[in-house]
Amino acid sequence: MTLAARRKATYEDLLALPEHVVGEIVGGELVVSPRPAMPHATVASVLGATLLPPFQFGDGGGPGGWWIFDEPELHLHEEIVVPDLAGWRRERMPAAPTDAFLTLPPDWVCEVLSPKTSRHDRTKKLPIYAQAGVPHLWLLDPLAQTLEVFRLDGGYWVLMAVHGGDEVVRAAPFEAVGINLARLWGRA
Amino acid sequence: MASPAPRRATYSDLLAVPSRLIAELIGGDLHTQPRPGGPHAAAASILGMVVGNPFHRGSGGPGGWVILDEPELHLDEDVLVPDLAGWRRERMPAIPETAAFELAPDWICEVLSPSTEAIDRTEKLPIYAREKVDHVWLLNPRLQMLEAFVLDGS
Repeated sequence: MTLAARRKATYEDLLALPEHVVGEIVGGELVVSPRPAMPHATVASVLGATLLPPFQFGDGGGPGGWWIFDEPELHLHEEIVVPDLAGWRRERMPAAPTDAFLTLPPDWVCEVLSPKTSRHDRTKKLPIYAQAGVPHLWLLDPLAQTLEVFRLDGGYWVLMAVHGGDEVVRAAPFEAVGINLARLWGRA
Repeated sequence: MASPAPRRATYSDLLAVPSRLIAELIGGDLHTQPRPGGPHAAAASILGMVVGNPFHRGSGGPGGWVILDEPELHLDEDVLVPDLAGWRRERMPAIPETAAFELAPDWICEVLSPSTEAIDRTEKLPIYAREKVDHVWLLNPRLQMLEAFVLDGS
């Protein structure tokens, strides 16, 4: 029995997926993940709810100046990836996007890790974000209850800090606001 | 499991820990854990062989290193026991007789388990950076993943 030659996955393959999954194209392969379950969903929601008022709306004396989106579909060269959260500085993207996907690399990406996706996120998606020149990356692990803060430097991810437990954290590029990690883990 | 004490823990507290446990002093707190089980121990042992044969023994490789299992590192006031550590022989021409190693390694590998991953990332990585350990690997046998870190500026 001969093996059929594998063709590269296309956007049509991704669009053909059912609604309840998240599809990505990484290294020419279609990667399908189930929609995130709790506690993953809690962490992403709470972080979005924490960052949007000060950084998107300028509430409470926050600096504004950002667009922050939930699971935006990013087309970065030939890769199609969906981070849990991503942000763009308004200087680079003055108006809210109207397309189904974005080709402008974000200024900040956050991935919420789960046992099923952690290896894919760390080994496949981090290099894609680095190649696209995304300057800031956060990895949130709801099970280990850690926040890893990375900065891009010379094409490599530099680990600036790992915060955990109940810390109140100021992390670039959102250092203007202290983030209460206990809230992310649903403990406050 | 760590029980934060009202006072800083000391080496005497560590010596009082039963020998079936692994004890570490991290930032003034005593942390104990049972000896690692199956997949963790297997991953550490196999990596020790894979790295040790060429780099420690020079078998199929350049030699030039001392690779040790679970050495007790005394780094300033912290006492850490990584799964594997390596020293270039120029820095450690002879293996010390004592059980305590005060010379920071050139390479460390921590094998991650669910119970230790948070401490490894939040507390031990910064200590290894502070002590100028050039290379740190985090090995996750459950997820079958190896992360390799190099100290910035090295």
